[in-house]
Amino acid sequence: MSAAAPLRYQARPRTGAATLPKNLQIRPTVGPKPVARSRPRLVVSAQQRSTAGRFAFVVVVGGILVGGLVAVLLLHMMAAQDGFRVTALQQRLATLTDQVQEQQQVVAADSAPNALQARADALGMVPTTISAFHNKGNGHAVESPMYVPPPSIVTGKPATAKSGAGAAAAGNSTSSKTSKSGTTSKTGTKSKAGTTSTAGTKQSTHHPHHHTGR
Amino acid sequence: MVTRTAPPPPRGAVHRPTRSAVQRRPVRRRPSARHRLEVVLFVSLIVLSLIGGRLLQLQGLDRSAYAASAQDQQLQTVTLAATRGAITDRDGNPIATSVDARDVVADPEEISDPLAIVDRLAPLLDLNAVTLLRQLSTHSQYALLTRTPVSPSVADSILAMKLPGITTPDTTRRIYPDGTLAANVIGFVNADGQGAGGLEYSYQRTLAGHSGIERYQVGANGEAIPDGRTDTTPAVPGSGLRLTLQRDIQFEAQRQITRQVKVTKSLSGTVIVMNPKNGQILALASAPTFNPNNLARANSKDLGDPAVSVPFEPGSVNKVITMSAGLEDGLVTPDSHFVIPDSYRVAGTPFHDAEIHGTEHLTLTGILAESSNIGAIKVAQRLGPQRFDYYLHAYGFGKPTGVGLPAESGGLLPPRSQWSGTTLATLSFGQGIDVTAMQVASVYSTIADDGIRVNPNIVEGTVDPDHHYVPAPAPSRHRVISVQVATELRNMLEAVTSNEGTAPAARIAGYRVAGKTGTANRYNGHGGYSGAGYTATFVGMVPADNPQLVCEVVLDRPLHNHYGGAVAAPIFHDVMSFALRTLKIPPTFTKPPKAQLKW
Repeated sequence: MSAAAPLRYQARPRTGAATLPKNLQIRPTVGPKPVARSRPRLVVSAQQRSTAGRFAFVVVVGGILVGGLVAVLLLHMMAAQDGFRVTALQQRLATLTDQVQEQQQVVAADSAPNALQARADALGMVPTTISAFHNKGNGHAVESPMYVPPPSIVTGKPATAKSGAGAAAAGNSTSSKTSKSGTTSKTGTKSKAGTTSTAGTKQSTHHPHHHTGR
Repeated sequence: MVTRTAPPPPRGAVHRPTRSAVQRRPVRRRPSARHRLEVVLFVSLIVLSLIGGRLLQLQGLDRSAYAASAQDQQLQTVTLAATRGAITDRDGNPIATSVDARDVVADPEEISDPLAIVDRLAPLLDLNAVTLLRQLSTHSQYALLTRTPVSPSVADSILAMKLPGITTPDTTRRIYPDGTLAANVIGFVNADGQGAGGLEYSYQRTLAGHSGIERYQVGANGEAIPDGRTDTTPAVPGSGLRLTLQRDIQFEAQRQITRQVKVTKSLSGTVIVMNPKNGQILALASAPTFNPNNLARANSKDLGDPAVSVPFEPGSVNKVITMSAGLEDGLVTPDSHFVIPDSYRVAGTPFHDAEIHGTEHLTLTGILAESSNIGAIKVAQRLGPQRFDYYLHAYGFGKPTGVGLPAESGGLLPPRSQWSGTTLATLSFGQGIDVTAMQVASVYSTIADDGIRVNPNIVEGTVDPDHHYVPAPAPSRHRVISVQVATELRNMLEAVTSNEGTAPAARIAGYRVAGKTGTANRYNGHGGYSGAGYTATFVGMVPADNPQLVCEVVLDRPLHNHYGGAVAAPIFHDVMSFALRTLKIPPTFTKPPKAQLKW
C-alpha cells in the first residue's frame, strides 16, 4: 500500500440487531431516511524521516565499537608487553638471586674460622695469649697475665697415725714429695694424676650387670 | 499378477482347520511386518539399553575415576622442594644452609654423538671422561651425571652449549661453609636431602618444611601448554635452628682436641664448653671428625657424637659426687680428717690408691686434691648405698640428658638391687659405672651453678620462614645440693689445680680455676681392664668463685702419657683461656682460700 493512497474509513456494520433476540429487536420506525452526511476521510500521513540523525547514531556507535576495539587491543598489547617484561625481570631476579647466593657462599667460606686462621698464619700472625683488665675495685689497670698465686696449701705434720685427732698443723710448708702428671715437676718419686687404679680382684667383683666378671 | 484366492467362507461360518489337515500339510507361516517390527524394536531396545547402561557406567558410576584419569593425562604434576632451614651458631653465623642448585641430567637416547658431549662436559664438571662416556652410552632415558648438584652459573654454562639430551633441573644443595666445624653436632643429610645424622636428623621435621605441588597442562608430547591451566601449591620452607654454640670457641676447641688426639695417639677426644647458668653448650667438639660436604671420604665410625653416644667409666671425676653427697648430708666437712692406709679391704677385696704410699692423714680436701680412692671409699661408706644411689640419680646419671642430639646414651648405672659388696666402693671413685661426657659436664655445671642442675641444651631457638625467632622452651632445673656445699666443693676443687694437686697445668693466668682430673681404666671387652688403656679426663670451671664457664676434656685411650692432669688439663687451659678472651669474661680479682690437705 502506497503511503500516498487514501484510506477509506469504513463504518463498522451494526450487528446489534442481528445478535439481539427477536423480542428485543426494535423495528425501524417509518420516516424520512437520514441524509447521508459526508465525513472527512482519514488519511495516514507519511512521516518525513531524518537521515542525518541515523547517520550520527551509526557514527557514534561505530566509533565506540572501534574505540573499544582499539582500547582492548592496546590493553592486550600492554599486557603482553608487561608479561614479557615480568618474565624477563623474573629471570633477571633468579639470576641475581643465584649470584647473591654464590657470593654469600664465598663470604661464608672466607669468614669461616679455619679460613681466617689459615690467612692469619700466612701473614705471620699468632693468637694472643694475654689480655688486659681494669680492676674496678681499686681503679687500677691491670696488666695481664697478672699473677694469681696458686691456692695456698696448708699441710700438717708428717703422719703420726692419730686418726681424727684434729692435729692439723698450721704450718705452710708446701708439699714437695709428689711429681704430678701436669707440667709442674718436683723432686720426688711419686707420679700421680688422680689415677684410679683398681687393683687386685676388684675387677671381678663389681659391676655385675654390665661387665660381669670384672 | 493374478492370484487365485479361496472363496470367502459363508457368512457366519468360522473357519477352523481340522487336525488332520494341519498334520497333513504344515503351513509355514511367514512373520508379518508387524511382527518383524516388534522384533527389531525389541532388539533395538536391548541394544539401546546396553548402550545406555554403559553410558550410565561411564558418566555416572565411573565418572570421577575417568575424569581423574583424563586429568592425569592432561596435567603434569611436579613436586616443589621446600628449602631446608639453616642452622646457625648463637650469633647467626651459618653452619649449615641450603642453596639453589641444578642437577645435570642426560637422556642418552637423544644423544647421537656422546663423544662430543664428553669433550665439553668432562672438563667443566670435573668428571672422568670414561665414566661420563659410559653414562651417556646407556640405553635409558635418564642418567644423573653429577652426584653433587652444580651451581646455577655452571648450569647456565651447560645450557648455553645447547647440548642435545642434556638438561639441568632445579634442586637444592645442603652446604656446610665451615666444613668440619661442629660436624658431629650438626650431622649431615642423605642423597634425598633428609637429615641422617646429628641435629639434621633429630630436628628433621623442623628443618624440612613441606613440599609444594605444581600441576600444569601438557600437550600430547608432554610439553607444557603456554597459558594453560596451572595449579600451584607453594612449598613451605623449613624453620631454621639457632644453636647455643659459639663458632670461634667451637673452632678452637675442635682445633685443640684434634691436635691432642694426634699427639697422644688417642682413639678419640671430646671437648665440651658449657655455660652453667643456663646449661647452654658453647662448644661441643670431637675428634676425629668428618666433613659433611664430602661424606664419601668420611669414616662411618666418625659420624656420631661420642660426647653423648659413647659412655665411659669416669674415674676420679666421679669423686666430686661422693664428696658433695657427704657434705650435703652433713657427714663430713672440707676439713674432716681421714687416715688413708696404703691398702683398704672392702668385702674381702683390697683397694689401693694410684700410687704406693704409707699411711696418710688427709682432709676431705686432701682426698679430692690428691684423688685418693681409699678416701673416696671411706666417705661413701659413711653415706651408705641408698643415699649414694640417690645422689647419682640426682646428678642425672642413668638417663640421657635430653640435649637434643640423636642416639644419646643414658650411660649405665647399675640398679641398686644388683649392687655387690664392692659396688659402693668402686662407684665412689668412678669405676663400675658408665657415663657420657655430657653427663659429667652437667655434674660440674651443677656445682658451678651453686647446686642447681640446669639441663644441658644446644638449641637456643628456631627461626620460622618469616624470620621470626621462637626461643626454645626453658631447660628444666632442680636443686641437687645447697649453695654452701657447692661453694665448699669449688674451694676444694681449686686445690686440685695447686702445685700439690693433680692438675696444675689447668691453671690460667689471672683466673681462679677449680677442676678435677680423672684417669680411669678402660674396659677391655673381655671381662676386665687389662690392656685396654685409660680414659683421661679433666673437668673444670672458671672463675672458681663465680663460675661463668665449665669445660670438660676427655681423651679416649691416649698412648703418650695417659694421666688426665697431663694430657687433658693442658687442653682445658688452652680452650678455656680462648673462651674467656672471646666472651670477655674478666677475672674476679680475688685470692683463693687456703686449703688444708693434710692434718
